[in-house]
Amino acid sequence: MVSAPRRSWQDAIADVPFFGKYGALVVLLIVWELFAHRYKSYVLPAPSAIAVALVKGLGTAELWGDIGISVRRVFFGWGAASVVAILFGFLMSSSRLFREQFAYLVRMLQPVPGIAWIGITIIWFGLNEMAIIGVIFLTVLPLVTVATYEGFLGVDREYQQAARTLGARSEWAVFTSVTVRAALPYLLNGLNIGFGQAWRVLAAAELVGATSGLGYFMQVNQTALRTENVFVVIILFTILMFAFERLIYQPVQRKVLGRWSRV
Amino acid sequence: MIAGGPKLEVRNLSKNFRRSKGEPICAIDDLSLEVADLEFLAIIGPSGCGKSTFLRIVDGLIPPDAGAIYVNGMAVTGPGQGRGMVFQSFDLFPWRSAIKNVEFGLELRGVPAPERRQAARDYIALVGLQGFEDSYPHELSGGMQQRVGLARALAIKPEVLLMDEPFGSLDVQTRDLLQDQLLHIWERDKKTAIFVTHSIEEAIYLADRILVFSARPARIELSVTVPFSRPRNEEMKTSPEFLEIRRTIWNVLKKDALAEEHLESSS
Repeated sequence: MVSAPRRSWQDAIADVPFFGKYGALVVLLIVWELFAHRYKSYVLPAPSAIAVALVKGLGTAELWGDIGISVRRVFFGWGAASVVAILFGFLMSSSRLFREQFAYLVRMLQPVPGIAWIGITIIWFGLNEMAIIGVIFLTVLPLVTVATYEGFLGVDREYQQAARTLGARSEWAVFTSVTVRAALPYLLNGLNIGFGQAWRVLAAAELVGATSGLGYFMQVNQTALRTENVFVVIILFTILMFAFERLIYQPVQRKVLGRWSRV
Repeated sequence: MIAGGPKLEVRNLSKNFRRSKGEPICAIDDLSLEVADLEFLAIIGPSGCGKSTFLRIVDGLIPPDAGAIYVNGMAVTGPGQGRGMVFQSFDLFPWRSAIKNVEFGLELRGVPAPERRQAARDYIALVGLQGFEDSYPHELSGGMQQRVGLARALAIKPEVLLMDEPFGSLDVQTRDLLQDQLLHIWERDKKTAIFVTHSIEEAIYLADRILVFSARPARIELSVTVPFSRPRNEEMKTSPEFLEIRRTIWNVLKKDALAEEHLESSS
């Protein structure tokens, strides 16, 4: 007879469908809903009020317009930075001189809080798209550069050696047949981290230096004490990041990694 | 090929390594040897004696400081020209399935897809891994991975097969099984082979001839011709001749091992 393995009470709760995972969230929302009525709605709007505001907001072209503008800024800034960063990271990984010359520069840029660039970009470009995109660009650039060059440098030399013994004649053949493929998971990870940072700095930049976008929408509603709409923006940021993870990043990652789990 | 000439010739080979600071270290000093066509040569020596360096030079992965390697009388100038290599580590490409790993060398050579797929299938079958074509390296055991590595090296149809302690990191039972499988494969797809190992038994069991290398710099201390007929079998391992060869080689290796111990304890 094999006796059933003992389950702890924690496992028993965690295995309950839905509640095992979302129980804390449900309790939080209920408690919040009950307490919210003790305060003025501009101090602490109830979750139900926020939900109504979200649905109402999504019925307007204005909010959709701001979502579109913010998403576009993130993709432009992040995309442009990624292209430059991958090129830079590649050069740094393949040339020692290039690495020596630029490694410390990148390291100097890395600890700068992304939002600190807003002061410069507004002076350079004025209160417009370029100021916001510029901040995202400068935030993402060092991140993805480091991820790229560490990804390329970290490729196990045995793979490159194996490629050579199997007939890769030139450095370029080794690079295209093995190095890129082996570094790809690290590049993807760098791009993903860069994307998350792009969103974070976007919100801050739009609060300070924009006349459109979700950060601006939030700032307008904060000034008007329509607090439920401030929460709507916070929820939208979560939803948008989640959508990116689920709809773009994870499918790409699955495609690239395949069943390769030894990362 | 020059009629009657050796398949592979190593002439006055020397290789030094430079540590980042300090004197260069001599890994190989004026080494010359010949390997006949279809001969199975084993190289044994104390650790760090330059065996692996020697094999990498033969493969063309690293250039020698002096001397040259000739295959069929032609000087070796780079890797991948008629030589196949199997390393100790499991350096299979983890993003490729077993069969795609075997196809890799053929892809580089521009062999059309259906043709290389068939060839890879044949080599997977040769190493006894039918049914595992679509498995990824991390899904295979160490012994199976090394067989894929062997299939991958054989798929490019090398004239000389170089093996750098391919079974070095496997447990003893797996190692014994793989030795038999390697011999079995080699009997069916015969080619000149150089096998570097730490194990005296492995060298005697597999090879036609054994070279014992000295501690750094690598020189040939002893050359032993193995008298056993093929195919080899387990009983040979307990025969008096086997034990006699084993003792002869151990006596030479022991001297170097003792010298090294002495150096380490005095430093």
